[in-house]
Amino acid sequence: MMATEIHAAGSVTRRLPRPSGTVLLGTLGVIIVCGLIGLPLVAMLGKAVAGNGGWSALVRPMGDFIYWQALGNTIVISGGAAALATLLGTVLAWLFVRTDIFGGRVMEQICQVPIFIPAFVGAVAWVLLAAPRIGILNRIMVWLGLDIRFDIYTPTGMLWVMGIYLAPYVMMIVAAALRSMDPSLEEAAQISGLNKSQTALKVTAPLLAPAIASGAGISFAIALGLFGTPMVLGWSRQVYVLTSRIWMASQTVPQSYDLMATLSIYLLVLSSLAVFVQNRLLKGRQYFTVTGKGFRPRPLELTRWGRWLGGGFAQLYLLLTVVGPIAVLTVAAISSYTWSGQMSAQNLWARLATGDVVQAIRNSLVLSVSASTLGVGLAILFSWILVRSRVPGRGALEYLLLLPISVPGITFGVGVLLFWIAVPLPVYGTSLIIVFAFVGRFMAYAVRSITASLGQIHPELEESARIFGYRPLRTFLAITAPLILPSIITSWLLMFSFCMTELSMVILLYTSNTRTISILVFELWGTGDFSHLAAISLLQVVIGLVFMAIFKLYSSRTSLGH
Amino acid sequence: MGVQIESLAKSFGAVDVLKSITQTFAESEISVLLGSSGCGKTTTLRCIAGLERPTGGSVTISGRRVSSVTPNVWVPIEQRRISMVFQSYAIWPHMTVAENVSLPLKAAGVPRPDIARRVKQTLDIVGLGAMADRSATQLSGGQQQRVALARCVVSDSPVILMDEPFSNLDASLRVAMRAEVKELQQKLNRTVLFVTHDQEEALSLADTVFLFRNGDVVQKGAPRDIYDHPASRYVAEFLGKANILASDAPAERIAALIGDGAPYVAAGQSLCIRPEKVAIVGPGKDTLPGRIEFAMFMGDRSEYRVVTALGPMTVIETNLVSRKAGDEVGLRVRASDARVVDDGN
Repeated sequence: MMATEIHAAGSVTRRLPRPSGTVLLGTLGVIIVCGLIGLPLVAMLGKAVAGNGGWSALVRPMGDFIYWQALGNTIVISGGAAALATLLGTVLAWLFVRTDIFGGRVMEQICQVPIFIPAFVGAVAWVLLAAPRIGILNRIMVWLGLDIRFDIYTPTGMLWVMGIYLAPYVMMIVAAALRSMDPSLEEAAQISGLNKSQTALKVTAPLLAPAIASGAGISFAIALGLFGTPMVLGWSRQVYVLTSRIWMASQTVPQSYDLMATLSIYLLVLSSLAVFVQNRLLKGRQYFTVTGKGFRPRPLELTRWGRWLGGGFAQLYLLLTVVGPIAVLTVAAISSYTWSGQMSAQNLWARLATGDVVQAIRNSLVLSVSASTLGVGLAILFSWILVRSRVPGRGALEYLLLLPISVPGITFGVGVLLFWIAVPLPVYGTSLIIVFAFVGRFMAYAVRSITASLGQIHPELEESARIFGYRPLRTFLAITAPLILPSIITSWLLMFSFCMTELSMVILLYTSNTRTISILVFELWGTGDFSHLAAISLLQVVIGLVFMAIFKLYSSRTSLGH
Repeated sequence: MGVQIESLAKSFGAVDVLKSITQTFAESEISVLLGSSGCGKTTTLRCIAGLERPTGGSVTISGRRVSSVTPNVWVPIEQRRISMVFQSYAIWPHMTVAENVSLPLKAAGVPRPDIARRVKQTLDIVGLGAMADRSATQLSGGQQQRVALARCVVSDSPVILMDEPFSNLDASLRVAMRAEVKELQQKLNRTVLFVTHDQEEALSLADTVFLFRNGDVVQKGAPRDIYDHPASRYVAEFLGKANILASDAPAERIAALIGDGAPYVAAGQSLCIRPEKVAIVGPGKDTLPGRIEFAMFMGDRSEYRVVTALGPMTVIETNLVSRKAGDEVGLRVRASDARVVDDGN
């Protein structure tokens, strides 16, 4: 980045004296943060406890076996998914960074694509691939006369789909760790007399362990909060996880708010535990990022066979997560009915050009643009307060702002729902409640990115503008804003793409007027019209890919520029 | 005029960084605020600039009170009519050189054509005329320093504050910039407050040196006065090198070194002798005998460490005679060059 080149000041702690307006700004900030994040979580806890019978209400669902089952399923499936993601992600990272497989650099970029394919859409594609009757793989097996059948509607199927789509998160973390690992550490081990496998075992693996543990923790926490995937894959055989149970509680008449709140708390406890364990594992073990230098270690030279095998592994991964699913969605979307063999692009257009779809796209765009803009705007304000001001209680503010990262989406949705039901303002049932939920849940990512970027801007750059006569606001607009612009734009794009594919919060908050594309996909899944479902899913994939492209192009341009 | 601070105090929590300082930094002079890190010199400068809010006392710039605790006066930074060179240069990286230099004029609402003319003029003065359209990130450290100076020159604020401006430059560039600042100040006739921890920089640049220690000014004066007449052992050792002889040093040895005129040193005092005031003469009567432990050749002069009965002494001599480690020598100091200093502050 441009500012860091000439002012590579490390920790920047100097702050401007507090102007009188900052106190006002701080107060306003506290109100906003409480309304968007703090109070929804409090409302959820309050509902679970105060609803009936105090703290003992928290364990009441555990008297019912089905909730034990949901909890068990959640832990087993998320754990399995995290294990699979960790294994796949670590192997991919190692192949791309430390070996000379064919096209490693390009493949590494392409292997990040699954992140931008909504999990729910991946699940729909895998239904078309491997469901007992309609799955195309099973049809191929029948056609081949083989006695092999796939069944995606099982816990194993669920953790398989979750795991393969979570692998890129682990891959990115481990690849970054491998890159920042000083090769001289391994060289020193070899010079000290360790052979290659001893070095790998005694030096490389322990150095890498924190990154792998961190990837496992993150994928476990994400898997816990997934809603669409377990619904689509678990519904037909009643394999329910906590998120499915929470949604089911919202479908009863009247809605079982107490139960929703209590189950949400279970989910919150699980994900907090994952984050806590991960932090404990990482504590004092961050060997990387110490120098902040990038290394290009000498890659391991594989044999010809090794290169083919490694390349084949990565290609197979892409086939299973990107190429196969997109192909099967496309075929289904352009067929007149599923696997009819009668294909025409006309079918696709007819499915997309309905009033429902147009309205859903418009809703998604309006909601996502408003939420990302409001969220990034607030994130700029809060980042400034956190990094530059001397307002007391900044630590608590930062904790609260970043808290939603470790709160599963549906849990946060329950909190937002319960809070706005209780507040006598016309927010519940409008699109505003969805915007608030989006901002509260996703603003944390923008805050993290913008505070990091603001911390890199030496305060003297702002101080000197003041000295030479610019008022605070003008200083911000002329100096600070242009310097943190890259992080503002990337945060906006990131928030926008999160909002566009969000399902687990909107599912609790939407009305017939505020249906988003994700909701449309979910409803179509409910009706069982798989061709229509495939068409809209394809649309979501395209939106996801376009945004990934913009995001990647923009970030590579800003990191190369200057 | 110039800058006055009166009972200026600043504490961060329980730590008193400035302990009620009252000083005047004279108009059209270079005042150097010198001291080791944490002595309060930078905090003083930042309080004057308005970048810190003092917890006590007042600041007056060019006759206008800009900050005071009682009665409560606070002029915002941008209205104080000052300019400043920062330790990090603080060159705005997203602007060209010309845009950097024009910002003070834009802030003052100078008409556009005048801005262009004055920026060009200023860049010519600091020798960056050919670089106007360069991006600020393409400049070397020394060139960035010049841009920072140009910003001060272009704004007609009567007071320029400099916070360790040369600490990021390499040694030879630092010496060159020193001369440039001195020349520029004489040309522009502005009041300059210059913060540094480098005593050589302070001595060569200052009209008046203010030596800070523990949040207070322990001595102020012209560089030569403060060097020749340090008020305390701390000042003597901080400014230049010094041989310190404690009050309990044997009188007959002192007499051998200095002669009969040696000043009286009471308890709690020491004798301070600058290394260049020590003469090396052949060993003999009326000298303090010693042996050269090691010699450091520095081109125009040499520094010797001589082991004597009074302990090791540092001697600096121009290279008229070549000496080497192991040589037996005798040392001699004129009585007027031996200063009595207090051991305290």
